[in-house]
Amino acid sequence: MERLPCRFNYNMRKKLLIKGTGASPGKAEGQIVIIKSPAEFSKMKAGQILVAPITSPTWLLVMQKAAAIVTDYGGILSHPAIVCREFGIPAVVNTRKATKVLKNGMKVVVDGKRGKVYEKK
Amino acid sequence: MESGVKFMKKNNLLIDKTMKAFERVAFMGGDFSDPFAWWPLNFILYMPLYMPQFTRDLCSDYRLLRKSTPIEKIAQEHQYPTALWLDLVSFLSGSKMAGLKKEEGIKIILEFLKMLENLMVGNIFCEDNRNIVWDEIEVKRIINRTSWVETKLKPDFAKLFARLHSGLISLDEAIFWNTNCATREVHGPYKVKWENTPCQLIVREYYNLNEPKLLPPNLSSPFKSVSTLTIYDPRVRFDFPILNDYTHDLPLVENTKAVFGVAIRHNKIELLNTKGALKETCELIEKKSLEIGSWAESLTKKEQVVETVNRYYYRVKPIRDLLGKDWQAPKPLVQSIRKKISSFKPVQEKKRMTKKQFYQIYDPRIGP
Repeated sequence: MERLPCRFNYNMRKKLLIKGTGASPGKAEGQIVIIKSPAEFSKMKAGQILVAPITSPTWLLVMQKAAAIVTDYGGILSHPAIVCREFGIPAVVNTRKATKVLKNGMKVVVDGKRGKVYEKK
Repeated sequence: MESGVKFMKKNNLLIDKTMKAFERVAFMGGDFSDPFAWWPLNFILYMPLYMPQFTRDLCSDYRLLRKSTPIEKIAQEHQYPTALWLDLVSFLSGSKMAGLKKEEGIKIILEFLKMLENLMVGNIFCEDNRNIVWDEIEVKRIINRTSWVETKLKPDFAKLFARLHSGLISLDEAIFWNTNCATREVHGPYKVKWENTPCQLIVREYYNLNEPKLLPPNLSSPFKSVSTLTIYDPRVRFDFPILNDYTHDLPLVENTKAVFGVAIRHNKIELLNTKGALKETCELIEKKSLEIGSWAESLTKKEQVVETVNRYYYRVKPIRDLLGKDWQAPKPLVQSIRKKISSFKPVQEKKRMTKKQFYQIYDPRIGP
C-alpha cells in the first residue's frame, strides 16, 4: 500500500477519471480491482484500490486489504464511509458509475477528501 | 395549541439542531433519497410498506403509555438516547404518513425532544463539547481508574482498536440491518486531560450483541457486549455522535492517544489489553459479521423485508415492554407486506431535494 505524502501535487498533471462524495480523507494510489459481489472476493490483493457498487458487513475482510475504496453508491453514513473512516482508508462514495468507468488493472490516485479519482501515468 | 406553541419556541434551538443534523446527513451524503446511503437497501426501498403502520403503532402505544407514565420514566426506560432519537426520527419522517394531525405530531415530537433533553442533560449534539451522557464526576472517575494503554508506547494498539471499531460497526449493522441501529451507543466527546494536555474521550458501547430474538437461527455471537474508551487529540472533530457517526478531516489512528477496551464473552469479562486478546476479538467479530451478513443477504427479498420490519419494530421494545406487549411486528402487517411485495415496485430513481423541500417535509413546524 503506497500512501502519498501530503504535498504531492497531482491535480496539475493527472486526468480526472471520476468524482463522487469524499467520505474518508486521505490519498492513496494503486491498481484498480473491481468486485461486484462476495463471490469475487478472491480477486482482491493487499494494496489494491477496491471498486464496488456498495459494501456491507460481509465485505469487511476485503476492505481491510484495500489501499482505498471507491463505490457507485452510498452517502457519508453508508457502510463503506463509516468503516473507511475508522480504518483510515481514503474513500470516495456515490460516484454512480465507478464500476463502469474504471477498469481492472488501471493505476489511479484516490483523493478521499475531495472525492476524486485521478489517472496515474 | 397555545401552550404547545410556547413550548415549541423554547425548543426551537433543539429542533433547529435536529434539522441541521438531518440536513448534514442528507446533503453531505449526496442525494437525500439515496437508498444506498443505508444498509441494507430494503430498509429505505421498502420502507413505504411498513412505515405508516409502524408510526401508527408507535404513536398509539406512546399515547397509551403517556396516560399513566410520566415522560421522565419513559425516557429512563429507554436507557440510551439513541433509542429515543430513533423514535424521534420515526415520528419526524412518518407523522404525515401515519395520518397524524399536525398539532398532535408536534406535541409528541416535542415530548420526545424533552425526553432527549432529560436523558442527555444539555445539547443533543456535541457541537459545544458538552457532556451528553456522563457527568464530569463520572468522566474523572473513569479517567483515573482505567488502566489505559498508551499508543505512544504501543502504536499497534491504535490500529487494532480502529480495526475493532470497524468490526463492531459491521457486526452491529449485520445484526440490525441498518445504520440506525439500537445496539450501540457512542457518546462524548468529553473534555479530559491526558499527560496534562487537553484531549477528548469518546466512549463506544456495544450491547445486545447476542440478542437471541434478532440473531439468525443457529448463529450466535460469543460477545454479550464490548465497550471501548478512546482518548483522541482534541483537533479531531467529532460532530455527529448521536447517530453514532461523525465527520472529521484527521485520521483517527494517527490521533489516538490512549485506549481501553473490555468485552463480555460468554458472561466472562475480558480486558482487551494485550495484542493477542485484541486480535482474537477482532477476528471473531469479523467472522461473525461475515456469517450473519451472508445469512441476511442469502434470504429471499420478501423475507429480507420481513426481517427488516422486525428489526425496525425492535427499536420500540422499551415502550412495548412497559405496556406488556410483544415487540414483534403485528402479524397482519407482516402478511400484508408478503402479499404486497410481489406487486410493489420500489422507485429506484433518486430525487434530488432542495433545501427548501427538505425543510418542508421534515420540519414539524412547517405544515403540509
